Amino acid sequence: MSHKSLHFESSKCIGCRLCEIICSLSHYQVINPEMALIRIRRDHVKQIDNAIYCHQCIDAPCIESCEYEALSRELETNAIIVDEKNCIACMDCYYACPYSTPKLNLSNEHIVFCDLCGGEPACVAICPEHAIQYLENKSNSGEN
Amino acid sequence: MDESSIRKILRVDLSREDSNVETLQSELLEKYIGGRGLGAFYLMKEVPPDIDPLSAKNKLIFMNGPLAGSLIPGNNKICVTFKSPLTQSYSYSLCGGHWGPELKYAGFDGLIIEGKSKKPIFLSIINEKVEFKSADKLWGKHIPESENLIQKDVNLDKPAQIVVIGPAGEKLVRYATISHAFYRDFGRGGSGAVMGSKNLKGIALQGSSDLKIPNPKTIISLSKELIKNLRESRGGRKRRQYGTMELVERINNAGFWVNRNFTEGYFAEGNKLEGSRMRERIVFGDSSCFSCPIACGKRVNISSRDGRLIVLEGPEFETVGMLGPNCGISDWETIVKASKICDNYGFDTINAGACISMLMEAFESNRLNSDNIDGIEANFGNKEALLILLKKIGERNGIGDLLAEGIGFASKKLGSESYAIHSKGQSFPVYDPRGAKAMALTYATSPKGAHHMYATTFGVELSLGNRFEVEGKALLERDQQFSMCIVDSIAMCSTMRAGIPLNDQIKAYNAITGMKMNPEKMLKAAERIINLERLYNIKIGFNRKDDTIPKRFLKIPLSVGESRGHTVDLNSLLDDYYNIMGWNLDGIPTKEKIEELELSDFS
Repeated sequence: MSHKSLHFESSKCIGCRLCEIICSLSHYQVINPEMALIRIRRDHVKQIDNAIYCHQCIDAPCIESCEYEALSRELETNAIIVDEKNCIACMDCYYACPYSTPKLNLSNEHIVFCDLCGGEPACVAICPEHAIQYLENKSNSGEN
Repeated sequence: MDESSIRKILRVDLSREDSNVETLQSELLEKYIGGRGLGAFYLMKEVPPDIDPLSAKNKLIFMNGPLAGSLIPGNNKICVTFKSPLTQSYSYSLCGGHWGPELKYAGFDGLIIEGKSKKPIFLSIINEKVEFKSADKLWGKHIPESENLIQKDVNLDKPAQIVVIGPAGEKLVRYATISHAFYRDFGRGGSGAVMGSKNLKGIALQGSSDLKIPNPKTIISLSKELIKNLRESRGGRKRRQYGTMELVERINNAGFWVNRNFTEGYFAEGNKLEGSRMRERIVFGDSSCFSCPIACGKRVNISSRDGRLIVLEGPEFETVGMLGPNCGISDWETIVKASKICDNYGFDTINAGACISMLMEAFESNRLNSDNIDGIEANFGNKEALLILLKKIGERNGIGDLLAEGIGFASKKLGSESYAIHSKGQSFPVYDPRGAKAMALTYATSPKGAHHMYATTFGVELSLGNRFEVEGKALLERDQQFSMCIVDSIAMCSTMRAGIPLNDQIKAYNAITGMKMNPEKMLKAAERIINLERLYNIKIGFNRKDDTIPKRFLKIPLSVGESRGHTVDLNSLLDDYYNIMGWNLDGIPTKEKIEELELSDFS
């Protein structure tokens, strides 16, 4: 079964960070870009914006790395999801991730992952430049 | 009261290395809106008008608007208010980027810096934790290196948002800027010199507090609607493509773009510098401030003749005009290099360009010779001279030391006053008022000296086709001053006006604050703010005699281009304007006006 994931093109990104705002607002009902599951980082020297976000890699080294059965795939969207009860915030998934994406929640109790907003990612909907899109996922870790 | 609606100000005393948090009285918003309006209130309340701007008694009053950090498009500006070391008057300056929103995420609507540190320091503000850190190793460094070193020192998982001064601010160049993210600035009036006088090199901010907004669903749908309106508006589409450089074609073809120190208003090689040509030649990407779908920032790279690749954001319209045509220069490499020097040292491109073009005109008129200018043959069009003089300003070296004092002071010393294009010591930006008459009022009556963004009348004058007329201009001037005062106080970028008119600005303001502002209240607040700014200057001693523009605009008509034959009748314009404002003929608000605006405490 094929599934979709987020695809980001830095050459299109203008760095407005509307994606960060809408992500935190949709997940936590507050604005807190630090808690967003997509985060934009500007390189002032190269004049480019990059995004840190979950690529939902087909081979998912994060799930592999977890010794506490805290990570699995959601059936509908295939998004990687966290079982907060099982997660001990050991950060093994963070070290396994080629994009250093997994992050702790604000109170440092457990890891948080992008849930693709149940198949309608809010960041994709708001991006004025279509720099972030929701497309067929064909990539293993480190391939894009 | 819901805790999320309590607004806070962080006050940092550099003399005592101490800080405290104050509550912002909510009734102040109704009277002063936010941003620029709150800055005016605090400056009047706390900074005596007679102080030396470079003394410990001056303050840097940073004020966000109430929408800061939200997703209302373009709400990213933060205003700094201070007494200007350049004009010795009231001054404010707004900076876009990501620093203001970060202050909000740290939990604050405002930051007031007072006193003076004994030694160079920078501030690290992580949420409510304020640290005073040594800047010994940063002092003397250019803007990019300073920001990088602070970032490294703060060393956080998430990058801090940073403002710094460069060598120009440290050396008290009177039009030094406070710079953010390398290429965004609190540009005019010399806030960077005030920061330098306080031995404050930079301020790093990082916030992770939750910003609660009422009715997220309503605000999301309102924001999406405003984003759409902006992106589809004519002005928005042009800005998206070409940034502020979209203006070149219109202003140059109408014959009121600065050319060789305002000796003319049409630059024959201007077509080389049009936005579309810039995009083809040197632009490789677009850069936005926080929560802005327009991305007027243009990412530029250019290979210089010596083989170096220069990458930067910008230059924008004022910079290109003042360092290009104003100095008789039309090649991108020189303009980009010149812009980068200003970015590295941290000073205002407009004032620097005006100082240099003054030298060039005085030199060509045999008023000065190269002996007066460190041996430089300062002809218009001399690219090397431009670059050398800019560096000299940044380093306060030789003639640069004098130019760093500002165009008013420097021209007096050099005996070249007739070539000094300024009002109240603040140099003119690129619009020649002979081609859009209300701009003369903007330059003459702005409390911070000649500043285009005080009232951008030229756009309306162009579209109404009445740009040479005097009649009706005082009213236009007042309305544009109010309009700019409102966006500056909401602290929304002025570009947003292209798709977010006053009614929508108010809708957004009310949605976030829960207040019930309407156009009438908003305009009254703007009038109050403008009068308060005026009152501050009157206490210093400013009045009609200071609301001036240089003689050439009054006496010498332009001779080529579509504004040829025109001069400005400033006296008639001023009479009309003061009358409409409820001020006396000396430009002083009447007692009735002051009472009507509830400003009696400040008069």
